[in-house]
Amino acid sequence: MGDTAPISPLGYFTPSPQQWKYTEDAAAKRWRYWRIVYRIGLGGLFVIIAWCLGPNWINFGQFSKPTMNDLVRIVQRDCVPVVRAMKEYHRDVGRWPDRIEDLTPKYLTDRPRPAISVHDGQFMFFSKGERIFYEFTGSGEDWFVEGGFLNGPIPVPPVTISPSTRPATQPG
Amino acid sequence: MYCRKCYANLKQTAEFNRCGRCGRAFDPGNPKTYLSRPFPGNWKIARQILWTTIIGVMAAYVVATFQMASLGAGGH
Repeated sequence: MGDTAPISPLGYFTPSPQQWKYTEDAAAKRWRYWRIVYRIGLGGLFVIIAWCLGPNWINFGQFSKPTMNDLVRIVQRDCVPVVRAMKEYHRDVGRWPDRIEDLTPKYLTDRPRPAISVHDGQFMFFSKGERIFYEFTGSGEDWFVEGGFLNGPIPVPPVTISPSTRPATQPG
Repeated sequence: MYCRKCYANLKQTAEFNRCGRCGRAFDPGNPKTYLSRPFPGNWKIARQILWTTIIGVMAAYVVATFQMASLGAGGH
């Protein structure tokens, strides 16, 4: 080895095998293992944010995917009053409402959320990427959900109303 | 002494003031030019976690958009 370091014209040190040979001791190998673990951890962090927590938070406002319990709260808060109003309208008028305006303000004092749809006697609500609807037919009367994450009946009791105390009349 | 770029042991090439593996220059008298352990420094770790989070959030928006689009196209 000479007295001066062999620096290339570009300024890089280019040792020959005789001048210097890099050897990795046990401690260096252990640290290399920890660097690999660290990089896997960074990759895991990216996957968790990009694939799990982030999309759930953006789409559903929570870190986990929606569950039936989430829908139970939504149904009880937003859907039951509308369906009760629809059934009261049907009881008094003798037919199902065609649109949400048929229910307000007589049967529904507050205008429901825009995601709620009443059309031709059908109730529908889009929430958290799922379609919530109410089956009005006879013994099968119940709440249901259809969507990419949840499907099936929602554990909320069917809506019941008191019998009419007044004669059926056409509104307006 | 370890290289800040490739984490090689610099003691073996201290006389050249350059890393033998990647060629990065260092000053044995200036601790800021080398690492005391062959692992990213605290600031580098913080920076990498921050960037991973930022890029992860951007990717999350793309994933969320595709998820909702696929649910919508699922047919209701």
